[in-house]
Amino acid sequence: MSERKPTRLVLEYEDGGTKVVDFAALPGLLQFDLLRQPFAGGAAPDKNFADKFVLLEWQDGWKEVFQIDAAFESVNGYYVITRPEDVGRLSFKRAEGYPELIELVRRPLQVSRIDFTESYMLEAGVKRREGKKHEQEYKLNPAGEPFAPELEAFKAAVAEEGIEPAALLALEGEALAEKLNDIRTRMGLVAGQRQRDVLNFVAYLAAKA
Amino acid sequence: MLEVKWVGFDYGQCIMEPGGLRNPLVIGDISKQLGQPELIADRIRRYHILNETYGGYSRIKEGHRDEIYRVVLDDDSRAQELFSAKEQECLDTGENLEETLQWLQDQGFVLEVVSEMKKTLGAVGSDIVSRFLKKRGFTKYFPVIISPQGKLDIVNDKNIDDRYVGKTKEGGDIYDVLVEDLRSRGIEPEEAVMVGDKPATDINPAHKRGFKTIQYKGFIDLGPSDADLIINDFAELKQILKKKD
Repeated sequence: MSERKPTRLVLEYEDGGTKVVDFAALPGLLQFDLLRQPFAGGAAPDKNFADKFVLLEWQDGWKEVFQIDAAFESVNGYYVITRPEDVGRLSFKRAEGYPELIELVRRPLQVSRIDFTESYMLEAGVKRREGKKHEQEYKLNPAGEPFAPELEAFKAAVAEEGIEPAALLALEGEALAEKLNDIRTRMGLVAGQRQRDVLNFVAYLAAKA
Repeated sequence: MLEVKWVGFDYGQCIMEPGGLRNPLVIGDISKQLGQPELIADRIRRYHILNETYGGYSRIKEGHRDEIYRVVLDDDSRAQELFSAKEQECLDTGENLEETLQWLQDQGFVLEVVSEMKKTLGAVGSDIVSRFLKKRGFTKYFPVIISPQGKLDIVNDKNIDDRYVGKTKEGGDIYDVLVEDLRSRGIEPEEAVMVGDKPATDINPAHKRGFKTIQYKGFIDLGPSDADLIINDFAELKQILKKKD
């Protein structure tokens, strides 16, 4: 869209701290997502007739409009990719309120272990079919202490890094993040959605070790 | 039945099937390994845009690989290494390919890969086609690759014939050099067969120069061509090829 582009994003924290980032340095999809939000004027008309519009109509009469940059001249083509995708759904319950849900798109049929407050080995259970949809359920077989293999791997990794868990936890800021990242790399751990999660997990292991 | 001495195979969507190369898997895994899971969606979107730009992932990989590194992977050398490794891990081979290659070799056919790989980043033997063949132990069937990079000896990692440099399948001139090359080895074009999926690069220009041609539709059907025969499974080659003495 050829709309006004912000130059900086400022985050103000509840403790009074701030973080300033160049807007252009943000991932493209995040820039788009922020700009389309109502708070950023995404719901307010700006009479930008320099842009172009695309209208789509479905067989059931549904119509949607998109605004795109004036630089785009014509439609290249349209196609639909149909794949029987596998998506894993891992839900977590709590005493009150809705469950939390993690959706897995990475080889969801090949998950073998889930550790949370307990450790479980997965075993294929009932398979159901609803029309074209298939659902594979898994039995959760208890498998001892959660994170036991990771704790051992952590101990081996810190030994290779030449640092004691307590000394690791005494680090701060960038030095802490860098060391935690080195250790998680040695352990073969990655974050599913947010890098901070895996670094915090390694710190948690350090506290347990 | 086609009676020939030499069999040339295309690489992409022929001996190599990219069906297992899913963006959420490849870009997802490497972004997570790099500690950047937050960038997955944006990188996949940029890759999709590159795909729209060049009309297919195989075209990007054969001719614009540098743009994958620059546009999708932010020029991060670690990401590039991981991408190459993950890509190799996810590539498949065509149905019944290996047993057919073994049979062809046992019959005495000369086997070579003819690829449209225009750009490589790195030394001879480090390109995607060579890595694919080496990883699967296919260099015993295909010790050389004919490509716009030259005639590459991938056992010793060197270019052994500069005449191919800059010549392409789409332009057809790579087949002109191949005709000379094969003649010097006592093989006439009509004693050679090219197997591939793309009419514009594997079939029609080769057929025009007197090669026998077989269109492989086992992975993708790219429409009509001048091919002498059509196959959907490499095992069919055992029924239709005979070694010419």
